[in-house]
Amino acid sequence: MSANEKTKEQTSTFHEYIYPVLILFIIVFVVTAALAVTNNVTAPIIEQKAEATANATRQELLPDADAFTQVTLDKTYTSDNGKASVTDYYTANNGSGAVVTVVTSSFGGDLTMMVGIDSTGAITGVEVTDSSDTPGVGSKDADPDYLAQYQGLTSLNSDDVKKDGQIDYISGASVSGTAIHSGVHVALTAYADLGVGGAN
Amino acid sequence: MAAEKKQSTLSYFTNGLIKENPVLVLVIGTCPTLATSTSVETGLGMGLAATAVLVCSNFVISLLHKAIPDKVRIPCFITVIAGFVTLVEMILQAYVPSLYSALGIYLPLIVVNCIILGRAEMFASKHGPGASILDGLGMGLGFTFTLCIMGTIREILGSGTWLAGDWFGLAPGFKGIQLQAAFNVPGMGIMTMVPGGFFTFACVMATVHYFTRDKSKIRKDFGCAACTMQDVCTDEKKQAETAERAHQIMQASFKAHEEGGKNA
Amino acid sequence: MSQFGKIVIILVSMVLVDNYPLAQFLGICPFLGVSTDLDSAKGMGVAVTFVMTLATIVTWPVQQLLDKFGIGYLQTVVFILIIAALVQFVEMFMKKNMPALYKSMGIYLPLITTNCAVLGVCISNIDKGYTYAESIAQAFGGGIGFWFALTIMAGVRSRLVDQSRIPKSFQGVPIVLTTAAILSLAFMGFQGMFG
Repeated sequence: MSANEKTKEQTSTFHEYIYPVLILFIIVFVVTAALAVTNNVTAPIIEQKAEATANATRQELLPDADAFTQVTLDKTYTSDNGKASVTDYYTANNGSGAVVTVVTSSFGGDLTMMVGIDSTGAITGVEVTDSSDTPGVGSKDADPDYLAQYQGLTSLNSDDVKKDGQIDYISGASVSGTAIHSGVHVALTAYADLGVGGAN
Repeated sequence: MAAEKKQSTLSYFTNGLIKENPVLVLVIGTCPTLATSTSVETGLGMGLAATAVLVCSNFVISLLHKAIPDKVRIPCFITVIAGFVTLVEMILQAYVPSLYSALGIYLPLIVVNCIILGRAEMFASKHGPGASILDGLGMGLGFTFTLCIMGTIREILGSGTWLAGDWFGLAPGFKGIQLQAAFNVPGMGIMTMVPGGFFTFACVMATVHYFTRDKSKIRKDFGCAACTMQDVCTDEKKQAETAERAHQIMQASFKAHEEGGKNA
Repeated sequence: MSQFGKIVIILVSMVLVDNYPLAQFLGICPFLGVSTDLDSAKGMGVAVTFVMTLATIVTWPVQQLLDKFGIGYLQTVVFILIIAALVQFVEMFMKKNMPALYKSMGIYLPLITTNCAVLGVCISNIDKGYTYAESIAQAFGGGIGFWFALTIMAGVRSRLVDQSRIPKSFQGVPIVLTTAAILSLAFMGFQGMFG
């Protein structure tokens, strides 16, 4: 420490200003380069894993399906309150149903969910695949028992969960029941349009 | 001489485990301790992730500290630490996605875990690479150990299981020890929630106090400059003094033109 | 729900429902460390609120830039450097132009770099997909909530010292943690305020 101070007193502009900045830049540069290399390696794996997980979830929601084909969306499906919109639409190759991926926003942040709908138009399952919930805090609405209430429904009575009557209005920690309800609502709208064969 | 040196090398490692346990004795790194100790699995995952970052950053910083000027010390340390945290994040997301999502926001927040910056500041920048690695391992494992203890208490009382989980995908279908089913006692959900976290931590720490209060040499200088806990890190008399000193160190480390004003 | 309504809900919920130290385990270190008396609680609370809001104002647009260039993975590195630089900048500015204010809260500023609530709010803004206005609301509300919790804690602690007989092992941090447990239990009552 004392040696440091000694040199400090005799420093030139280079030692005073340029050298520290240079060192900081070199470190930032090396760290960035290392991260870029790692990202190149891991990014495809992450994508692959995410795809595999999404497929597994689809299969779980629609057990009768053999395999899934993605349907290109010609228009955007957004709920009336502007909260939820459909991002992906997959149909089962054997015509047993469709699985809709919806991103819905509540005041607690974005929520990604999948809704499985069979060929008769009844909901086979709802699953929240990604939420910005704080781990350890927990949330009632992502609870499987809560989501199971939607099973078997073919339509929702209202686009407002409070007026619907079919769904228990439970207020969760930060993920709102309204967001899930809007998500299911817009998924059913998309299904009414695209069906199990897709519109195109 | 040789024997003495060997012993002190080993003590770098054992210090962090018990005597200077970062969480229980030095009371730093409390946020991840409370948040990720809901079960043994997440606690262990968090502990090991932080240990990996700590060992790597300690190693790199002990190699680099001679080249790093004092003024930009903290930004340089932070960059190195943040780099390793991002690396761990990427690797976990690619290979252990379940742990990645279980830790959530607390994974990137390892960057601001006082244990890591504190060790860089107090230990790695003053010791060689070998000692720094040992110190990082000891401190990291001490942190992990505490998380596992907390996780054990909260999981058993809160969920009625022990060691449950798929263990980062290694043991799919493993249900752990189902105490709830065996003894037919329902879990107390509150223990896995926020109040349970605080209370468990209080009890664990009180237990440690009970056993160490006579001989402990707690509240050691532990890189207080980098830590928000400096107020409770020292004896009350020294509090103001330490805060002022820490403040000066921080300033000195960041900017050059403060030099004149500080002396005046 | 209108945009304005959403912002109001975010603000209120960050103070009561998702309070950082008492419901999300963020910023615990200063919550335990700087809650010894009301004055320091105020200084720390104001400083954190200010830095959190400022950090969000800067980091949110920066993230959009990072995403544009496809280097979103640099998020953690860039954010923590921005926060460290901001804290330094604010400190220098305050020392020069507002010496009175600096005297009362300047000492807390350097501690904020390693406050996980600050980095936490910046990252969670992005994770939650909030708009710019919503992000700023979350940061400001989070800071106010932190200040709120700190003030309550300081009030409780100032009485703990004088008027209670605490078991020896529980003296110091453990009794503070126990108090925090009871406080967080009370804050759990706010959960479900907004559906």
